[in-house]
Amino acid sequence: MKYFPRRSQTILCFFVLTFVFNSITVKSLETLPVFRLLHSEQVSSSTGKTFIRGTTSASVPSSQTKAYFECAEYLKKTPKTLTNLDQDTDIENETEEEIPHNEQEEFVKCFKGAVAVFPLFSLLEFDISALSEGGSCKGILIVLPRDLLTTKAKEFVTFQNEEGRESKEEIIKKLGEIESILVEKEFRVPIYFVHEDEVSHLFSFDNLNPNKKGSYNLKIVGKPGNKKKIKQVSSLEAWLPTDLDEEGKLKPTIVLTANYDTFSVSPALSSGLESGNNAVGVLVELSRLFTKLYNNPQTKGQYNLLFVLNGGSKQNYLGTKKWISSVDRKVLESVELVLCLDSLSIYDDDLENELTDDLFLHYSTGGKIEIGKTVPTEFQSISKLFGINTQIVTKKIMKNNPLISFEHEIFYRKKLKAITVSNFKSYNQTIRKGSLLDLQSGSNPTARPMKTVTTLIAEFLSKMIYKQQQQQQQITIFENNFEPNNLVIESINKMLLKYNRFSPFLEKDDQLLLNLENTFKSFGLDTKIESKKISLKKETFYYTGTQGKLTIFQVKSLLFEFFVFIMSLVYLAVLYYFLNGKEKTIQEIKQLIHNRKKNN
Amino acid sequence: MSFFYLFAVLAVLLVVPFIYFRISVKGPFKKKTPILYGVVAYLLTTLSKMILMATFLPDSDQEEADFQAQFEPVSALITIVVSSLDILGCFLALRACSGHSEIRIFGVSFAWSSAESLLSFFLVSWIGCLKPEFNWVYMQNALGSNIGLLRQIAFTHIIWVLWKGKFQNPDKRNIFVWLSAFFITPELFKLSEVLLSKFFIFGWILLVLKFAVAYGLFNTSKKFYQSFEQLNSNKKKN
Repeated sequence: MKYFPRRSQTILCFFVLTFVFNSITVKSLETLPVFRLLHSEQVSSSTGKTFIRGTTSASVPSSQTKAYFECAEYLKKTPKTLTNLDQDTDIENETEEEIPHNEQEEFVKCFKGAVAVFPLFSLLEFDISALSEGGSCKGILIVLPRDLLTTKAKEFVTFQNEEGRESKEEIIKKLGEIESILVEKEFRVPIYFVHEDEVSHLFSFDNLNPNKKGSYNLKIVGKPGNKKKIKQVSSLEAWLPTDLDEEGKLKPTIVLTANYDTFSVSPALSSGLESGNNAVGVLVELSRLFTKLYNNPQTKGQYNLLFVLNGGSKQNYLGTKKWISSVDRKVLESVELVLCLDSLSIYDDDLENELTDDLFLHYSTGGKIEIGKTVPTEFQSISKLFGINTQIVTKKIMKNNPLISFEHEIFYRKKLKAITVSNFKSYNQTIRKGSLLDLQSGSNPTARPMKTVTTLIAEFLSKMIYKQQQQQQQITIFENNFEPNNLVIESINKMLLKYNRFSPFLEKDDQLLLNLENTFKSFGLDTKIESKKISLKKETFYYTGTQGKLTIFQVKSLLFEFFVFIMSLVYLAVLYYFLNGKEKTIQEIKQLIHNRKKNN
Repeated sequence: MSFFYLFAVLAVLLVVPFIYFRISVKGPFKKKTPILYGVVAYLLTTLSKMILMATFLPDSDQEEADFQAQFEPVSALITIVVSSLDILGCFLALRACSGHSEIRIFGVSFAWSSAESLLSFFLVSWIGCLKPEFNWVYMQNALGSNIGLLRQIAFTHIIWVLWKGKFQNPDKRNIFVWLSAFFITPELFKLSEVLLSKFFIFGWILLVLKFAVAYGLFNTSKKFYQSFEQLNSNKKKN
């Protein structure tokens, strides 16, 4: 036939062209942002404990999740009924609450060569450190629920105590422990986090079976991590001065500090508010109220006020240390009291079965100066007016221990009177370190209203500032016009939630700090942002590459596609047969065979 | 992902018209090949159709997901009118080429539908089949284009009959009415897609429906053609 080239040539051209086009990489239907586990190393020359560790693998895998979905059955059942599953293995202790060891091994084997996808709450039942060895699975994907404390979440956890259902506080505590494991243990598999909403039609945080059947291919694209040190830490100061005294010197100053940074096991997800840094909103609101008072010369106080927002709090209060070393000497000499605001709105979960609404006032002893009991007891009495019980906690500082428990210790070591107001009784509670899980705050129904705390602190400060009224009856200033506005606090909190505030990754001119500076300026305060360079003896390295894109493909096996190919050939043959007519096709086939025989 | 699917789709797309053509046409080719004219006619017709549609079609307000197609009567009407330009294109192609009637008809229809399937589905399938995801859509498209071939053959037959045949008025009217069926059916399919998507019936069932309709069209057109042939042969005898 003149117009069609020979069959073999066409086929050859076809093959060549397809191989050429093979390098086209195409995106698939769903690409989702995914967050990576904190990845850092602490290199220390002394014998100090290495505190932060993470995955050392920077490779980006893609593999099938088939194995996971087959093993999902294990997780659906409570530990006690797991014993019924595998009848071959000998299970010695049936009364143990945890999954027996040999079944755990079986479970781990399921994940070999696959990506383990965990809804968050399943981590309570399955010990994730079992997967920490390289080669046990190709990667771990943890699905985070949008709202942690919904009833749905509580229902999912089927973990049974002797007393009955897990309480919400228990869940938070356990998840906090899991997070510490993730941070401290060395995992040789990459761990990724993804929000539930985005994968919700595939798997949700409580539904373990995928909605669509078939195997999945998970591919993560992201830059490999580079080593990064903390280069600088920024602090924001807002200065509210009063008049100079007769000699032209500065009047005494009260410093209020809060921290704006967070920590979580995945740096790109550090935007939470609950554990330790929801005081920023309170601080801003206080600055607004006091500016209002100071603007009126009749109500101008006798103290200068300095509002400071520091970063680096989760890195052993690096920001505060640097701030002290670089603040103006005159100001430092005039400081009479430093009030550090720690987390102010959640309950204390150390007392397991009790919800306490107490605040704790911390101050240190054993240094060169004494705080004295007047200031703390005054705070206590004022807080009683507001219906909050404040407990006073003192702690002796240990000069050899570099670990700072609360922020006031830094000031105390520099011979300044400092107290911390906090929700936490002790400094080493797990949740205080900062968590992945406090992704939204402000929606916590058990949270203490911030307005009350703000008013409390404001009244306490005003007692100091306006000394004349001290002896009189209790006059409350901050009501009506001067009432703290919850909206201001909430809007500041909302702004904070939008930004990642993990210190090592914050830049010099971070948008967040600029926004806060503008807020202070809008109240009429004198502001200054300072970024101090850091050089530590013990370097902590952090790894960038904390975010990536996850693509989920639903794949069919190669065999299936080959089958489709064969079927299409059959279709063509059948069509040919029908159109040609029976006898003709048979004739043609016979001819072909004859020709071949002839050629041979 | 894998080439097998790609090959399967392309095979179905391209080889079927080839088979059909090879079987149906027995005579030799001449210089003014129907295939060439068919392809050129298709290209020109589609181009002019697109220009006309761009001029006259109103903007659709809604932006919905692909499979939730909406049916708008005005734009459907305009689409029908504009696609009747096909008649002209086919007619010109048939007239321009030379050869036995059967060769011409089959040649033009084969060329037309293969050009259509190539330009509409080839590149899409190529890229789509090599994606990691497996999707039946490409295979459905390929089979759909086969059905389009059937429809095109029927269509060309009708055009031929209209052109060459000398009928009395009522018959001619009948044929014209039948011709309009060709243009209404794609729009009907769109409408049916809308209805069916509400019942969540997609893909394969739609394909079966399309095949049924195309087969019906094909049969009737063939009957028209045969009656025309009979008339002609009768006249020759007479």
